[in-house]
Amino acid sequence: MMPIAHETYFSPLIQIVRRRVLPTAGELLVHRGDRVIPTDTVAHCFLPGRIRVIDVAGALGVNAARAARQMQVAVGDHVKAGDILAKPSLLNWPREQVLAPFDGTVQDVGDGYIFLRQDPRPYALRAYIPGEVVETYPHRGVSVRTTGAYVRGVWGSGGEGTGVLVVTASDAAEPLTWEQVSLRYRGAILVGGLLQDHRVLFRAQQFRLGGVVVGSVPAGLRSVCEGLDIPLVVTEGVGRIPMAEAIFRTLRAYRGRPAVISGTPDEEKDVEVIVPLQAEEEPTMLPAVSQPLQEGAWVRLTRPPYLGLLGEIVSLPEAPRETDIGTRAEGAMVELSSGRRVFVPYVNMERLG
Amino acid sequence: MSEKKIASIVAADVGSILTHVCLIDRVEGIYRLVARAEVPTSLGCPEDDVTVGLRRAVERLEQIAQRRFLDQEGGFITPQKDAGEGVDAFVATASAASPLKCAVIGLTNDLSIESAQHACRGSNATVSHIVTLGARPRRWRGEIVTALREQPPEVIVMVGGLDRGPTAPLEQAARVLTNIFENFEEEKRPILVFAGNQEARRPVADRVSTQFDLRVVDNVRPSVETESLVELQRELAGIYAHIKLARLPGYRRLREWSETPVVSTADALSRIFRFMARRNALSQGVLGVDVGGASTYVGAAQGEKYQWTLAGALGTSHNADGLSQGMFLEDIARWLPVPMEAAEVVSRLENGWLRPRSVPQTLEDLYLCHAVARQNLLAAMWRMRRQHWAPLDGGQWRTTPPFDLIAVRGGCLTHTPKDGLVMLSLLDALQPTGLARLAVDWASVWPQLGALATSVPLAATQVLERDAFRELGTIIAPIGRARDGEHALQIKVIEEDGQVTEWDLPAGVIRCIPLSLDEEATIEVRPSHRFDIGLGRAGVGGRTHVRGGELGIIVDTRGRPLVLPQDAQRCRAKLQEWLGSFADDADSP
Repeated sequence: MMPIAHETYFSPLIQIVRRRVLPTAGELLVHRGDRVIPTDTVAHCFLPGRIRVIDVAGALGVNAARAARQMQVAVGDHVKAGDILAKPSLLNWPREQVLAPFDGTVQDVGDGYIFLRQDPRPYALRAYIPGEVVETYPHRGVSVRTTGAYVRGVWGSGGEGTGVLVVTASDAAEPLTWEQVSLRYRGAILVGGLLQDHRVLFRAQQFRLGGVVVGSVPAGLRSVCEGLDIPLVVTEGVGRIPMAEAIFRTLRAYRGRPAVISGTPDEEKDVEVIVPLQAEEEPTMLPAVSQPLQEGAWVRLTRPPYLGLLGEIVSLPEAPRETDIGTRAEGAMVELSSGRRVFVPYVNMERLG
Repeated sequence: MSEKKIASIVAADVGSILTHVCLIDRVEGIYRLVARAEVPTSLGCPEDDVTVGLRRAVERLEQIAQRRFLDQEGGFITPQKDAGEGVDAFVATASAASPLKCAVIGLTNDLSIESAQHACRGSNATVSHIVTLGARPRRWRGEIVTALREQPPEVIVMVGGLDRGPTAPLEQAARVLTNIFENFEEEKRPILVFAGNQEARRPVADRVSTQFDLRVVDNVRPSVETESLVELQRELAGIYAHIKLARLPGYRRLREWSETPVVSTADALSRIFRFMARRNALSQGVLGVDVGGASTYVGAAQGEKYQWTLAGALGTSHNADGLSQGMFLEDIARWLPVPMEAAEVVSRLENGWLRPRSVPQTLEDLYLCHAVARQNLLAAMWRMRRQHWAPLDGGQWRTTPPFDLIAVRGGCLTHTPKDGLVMLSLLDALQPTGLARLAVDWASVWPQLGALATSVPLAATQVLERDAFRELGTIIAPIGRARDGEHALQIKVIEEDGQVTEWDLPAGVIRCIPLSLDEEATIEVRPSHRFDIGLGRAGVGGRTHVRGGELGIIVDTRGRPLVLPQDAQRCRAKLQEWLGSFADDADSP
């Protein structure tokens, strides 16, 4: 068996297929073979409206039996926002009448409550990536295929976005500063070596950037990122880790091109950045299984003392070996860029696609 | 599965981080552990199918054992052929599914919500929503209703009311729930577990049974003085095993391969810990511990009694919930014998959590991993003490009861090259009392043996006795407190060859008395008037027979409960001193 390492996949050119699925059954708006752009709606459905439990008895200051007599609606009635749901009797005066907070249908009445269901909300499913619809799933969704550069991140937040790729950093270790984030990048996906200042994210949100891609974020900032509404993809980890040189080079090569970003993983995709590209020949597919490690493969090391360093596998010992602290593990000999050769357990490296 | 026909078995444990497989085969008529392998579990991108990682692990096993187990299609060759290919049986345990997401709904002004939370947090479940209904009126806040709809839990635990109390509030709650989850697709609708007032069972069932999968268990608070969590915990464990595990990607194939139903790792561990206690007729029983990457399990087997807690989302790798469950950075950092900036601690922990399969490669990382393990174990032990070991009179429950055997497992421990560090972490976190042997599941096979215990018990017994134990030694840990340096106890060791050594030990130290694995000795212990060695009274001494181990006899006179110095620098110095007490850690840090 060839050894396997976890992959932080990236590729300058590859085929990518993304399945897009509605949260509930709906209607498809495209057909197999159609071409779509990221903002196209490929399917839509109606999501059940929110339910509001309206405490009529509490609002009128009466018990449940009396509240039932003062209700003005019955199960199945459709009401508009502001319609009267229950009126106080003279005995309850000066209590105010209970009004419908939104358009909806009375789902249930009882125990002094009205259960009001909001009208169904329309939901539009976007294509997310530009390309060809290659599969349709009746009433559920589609698969869209594109070709392009692909970077899988290690962590992210903030959902999906699109925008032109802008690389402000001159090298993979250059931090993204808050001064660099300005209105001129509105809608763009900004790439920096690493992020050290949380103001970058606040400004990115303020100026409505399409997204941010960095090598690393400072310790403790992840919860701040999760509270913001801007797609963020982190390629390396936490601390001061520069973006892997190969990934940085790939993204920089495509600056000025439209790209898509997803900072929130789901069942269909991981945290990722895709730069759609035209290909003269059909490139290979994004692998569905982890690829075995081989001599000559480039890996990123993920644990101190080599955290964030890149290296080349020079040999794959058959038997487990001892690490520097004496743990026996299966691993590979890796040559770092300094020329030093070190033994690293397979679980502490990621193959660079 | 007929035991007579089974000679060779491949047994797997699919954890959230690692998949362990082992080959058990008959050698000279006895079942032995022949080979073992571990690989990362293949959940998430790109494969997201547990059987992919399992196949890799079995391929590794094939390499080690120099035998083929898988056919061209990747399935098992069964039964074993005359040429040696294949195996007679495959069994599996699993714990790779994330903890159950629970909502607890109950009434204010009673203790049942607190009890239900304890039950959930001890049953591999996290509590995502708590709904407390006010006494009058019992209002449902809009944001709670929205949260339940937008992020529906997998299980709703409804509690409240003393037995034979009023039922109306619970009926109202049931009505609200049916309205909230109307129009939900059936597979997305939560399971409703009712653990409240017995009188309300029928009316609540009448309201909800057409819409919800309703499970009814004992009231968690039948009276103000009584708490009854066992039934609820058993139900939650069952839901995890039968519903949550069954949703694992690749589970169907795993189930098809397995001769017996796939058992949850916690269930398999409970069997093996009970088996250990029964087999060796251990009067004080077994304290079993699993320090997992995603959860921490503690089980206590004494006679027919089995008590356990499973702290989901409280692991050494996937510990995202840990910091939000009241575990603060200082709690973890205080266990570090080396100085480390707070930002550095967070950075290392977060990187570890982003790559849960990675292992420490520096001493600092190793110490941090053990600090997290200690803190997780302390939290799990606190739950055990609160739920199971609290005396009926409501008195002291701050110390761990005495056990004959402490059986521990978990990647963090088995991948640690220094036995001394493993021992110190366990002494710090479990704080055992009296006299106990400590053994480690060095090969990570106990869950698999637990799964085998019902189908091929002979294989489980023989492998457990011959191959699956690594004994670190015998612990002597008196209860009591004294100033550091004050006389704590005197111990006389009479070895089998008649050689006698005597030790006078002060309070506040750990000492290893050499006694190798294959040696036995008689010991006489005479504690000072401040210490009780588990004989019920301070100052009372005794004589007993002990076995050696990798570290010999370990005497811990730090007292119980263990108190660390408040000052960070002094605390580090103490940890270094205690770590230095073990021969294999004498050079560190």
